[in-house]
Amino acid sequence: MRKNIGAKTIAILAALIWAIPFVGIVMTALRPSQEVLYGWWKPPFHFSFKNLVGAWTHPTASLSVGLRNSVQVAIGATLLPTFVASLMAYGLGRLRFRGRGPLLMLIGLLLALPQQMIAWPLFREMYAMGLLNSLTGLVLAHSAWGLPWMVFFLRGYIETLPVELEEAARIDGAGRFKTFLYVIFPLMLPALASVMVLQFTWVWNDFFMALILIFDPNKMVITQQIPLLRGQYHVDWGLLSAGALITMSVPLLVFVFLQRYFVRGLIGGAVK
Amino acid sequence: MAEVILKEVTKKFGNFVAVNKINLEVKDGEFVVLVGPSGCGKTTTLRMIAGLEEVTEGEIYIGGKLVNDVPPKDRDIAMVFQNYALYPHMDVYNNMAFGLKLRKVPKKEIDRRVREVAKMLGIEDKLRAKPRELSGGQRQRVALGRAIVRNPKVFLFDEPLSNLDAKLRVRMRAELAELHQRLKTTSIYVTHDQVEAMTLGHRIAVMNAGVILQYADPQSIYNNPTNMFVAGFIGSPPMNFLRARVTESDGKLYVENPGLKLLIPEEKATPEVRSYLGREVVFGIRPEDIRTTEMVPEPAPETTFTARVRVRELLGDELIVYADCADQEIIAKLDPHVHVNVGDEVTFVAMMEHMHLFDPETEKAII
Repeated sequence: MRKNIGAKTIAILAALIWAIPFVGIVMTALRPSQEVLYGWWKPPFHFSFKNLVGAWTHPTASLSVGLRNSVQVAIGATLLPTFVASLMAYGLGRLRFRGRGPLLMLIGLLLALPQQMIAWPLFREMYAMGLLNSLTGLVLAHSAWGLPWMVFFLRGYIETLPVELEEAARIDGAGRFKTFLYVIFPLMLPALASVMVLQFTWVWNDFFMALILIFDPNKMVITQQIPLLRGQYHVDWGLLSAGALITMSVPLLVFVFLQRYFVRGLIGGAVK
Repeated sequence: MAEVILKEVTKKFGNFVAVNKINLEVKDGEFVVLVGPSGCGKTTTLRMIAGLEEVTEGEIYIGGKLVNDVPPKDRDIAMVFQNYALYPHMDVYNNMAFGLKLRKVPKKEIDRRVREVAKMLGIEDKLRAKPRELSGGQRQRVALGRAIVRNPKVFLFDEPLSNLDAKLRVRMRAELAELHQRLKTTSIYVTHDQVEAMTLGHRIAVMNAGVILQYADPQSIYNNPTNMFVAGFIGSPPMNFLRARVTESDGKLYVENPGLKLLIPEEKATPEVRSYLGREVVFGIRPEDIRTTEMVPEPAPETTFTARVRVRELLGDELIVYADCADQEIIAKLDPHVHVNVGDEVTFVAMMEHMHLFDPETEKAII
């Protein structure tokens, strides 16, 4: 019991420390910069949506455009690899074929690769395919980058599902694909939800890949636009914070909606 | 409905031979039980018939058709798994309807069949429940229903009752027997439980180490086991095996060892037995074929021996006694009213008309 209280205290403290920058951003975004200049907690408190509106309708870096692009990229780069990864994970988890071990090892190695290492080859390949400066290109790049960890995660989950279910389906009259579609896929939903929340968040927060592949202002994703809100002669912290606030609101919403499944997926095979 | 024939079927996992050249013929409408200890190859055999395992060598026929390369879905079989393997995300209705849907059976027909079978199994009020909301017995019924509703040529059962508690198991066993009476579908049933085997099977195949040791009706298996493994595996407590010699005096044959000398009845004293004269044999006698003089006041001559009681287990309707006869243990299943106490030197009577003799080397039955 006592140990429990101690653990809780530590958890709450950690959460508070973690939340401080977030509170700062909210304060800065919602109050006039003069007020914040002398400290977040100094009264008076005047709240307004001026900064939020300003960021949303910014003449050179309108977040409304960035948000639209980001939503397209994040949804595409979540659904596509999730589907592909679920098929791959099923194959790697259940089928016994020559080269399966080395293939798994290769995928494991890909997990260790730093993103910076692929910047130049990625740029060249996308250029060669004519996919530079296009949202499709960015979706493909994110999908490919996300596949290894998704396959690993989902394969682990699939291996916790009883094989007899598949055998029952095969005897009931389903081939491999129908077994996957009607039996395995529905049972994977909690794991898929986890994978989708994580992938969506990572794609959404990505700055690096977008920086390499997108340079047309109308195609830029939201994370690329935040720095453009800085202003040329002075840093408008209020505007920047408002931009950050708008940006982080989307993955937060996604998490809130899928949280139930997300947690279930993470504890996966533990509860039968 | 169809007959199932296995010809010289072998299954190897790498170098390990799980099933070794077995031959099995299951007649149309017959209920056959494969029984044996864990790892004897019975489940592997069943899975080969289902098409879940490839056959390494040999041929499997279902309904006269060679099915070695036919996928499970096209074999027209249904299987009930040990852990039921119900689809957790589907309700009872859809669990049962799934196979029919895949076979593109019209919706109305599916509905009719599912409801009919659900009623037969007494689960018609559970059709909208998910498997996790059901008890073990109900899940077992759904698993059965899923098989029955397809109206397959052959039912395959893989230890379907072993996850149930003892009471429910007995009840489901009776229900299974009744169900087969009604449907008369060819059935192959795998179990390690000899009682299930004895009560359900028209014929029983006793397996060990990948081979079928004996394939016969339950009574023959019990009364005339062809080898020591079958004799010891079927029956509880198991048959007593005592080292002895075949001896002769006054033209009569005896089984003899330091603790006993028992007359081999005339009808059992075949020329084969005589050929073992002077040689070592294994004398087999079932615990229920051993009585006391209290139960048989006037025993036939030369059928008694004495042994010291070491353990006494009263099970209510029977009394199990473990006794030492010279240096060998002998188990007797007695009338519970018999007065026997631990440490007593008791005179036992062997029902020699039920005796068995085995060759100690080949372990095969001599009589």
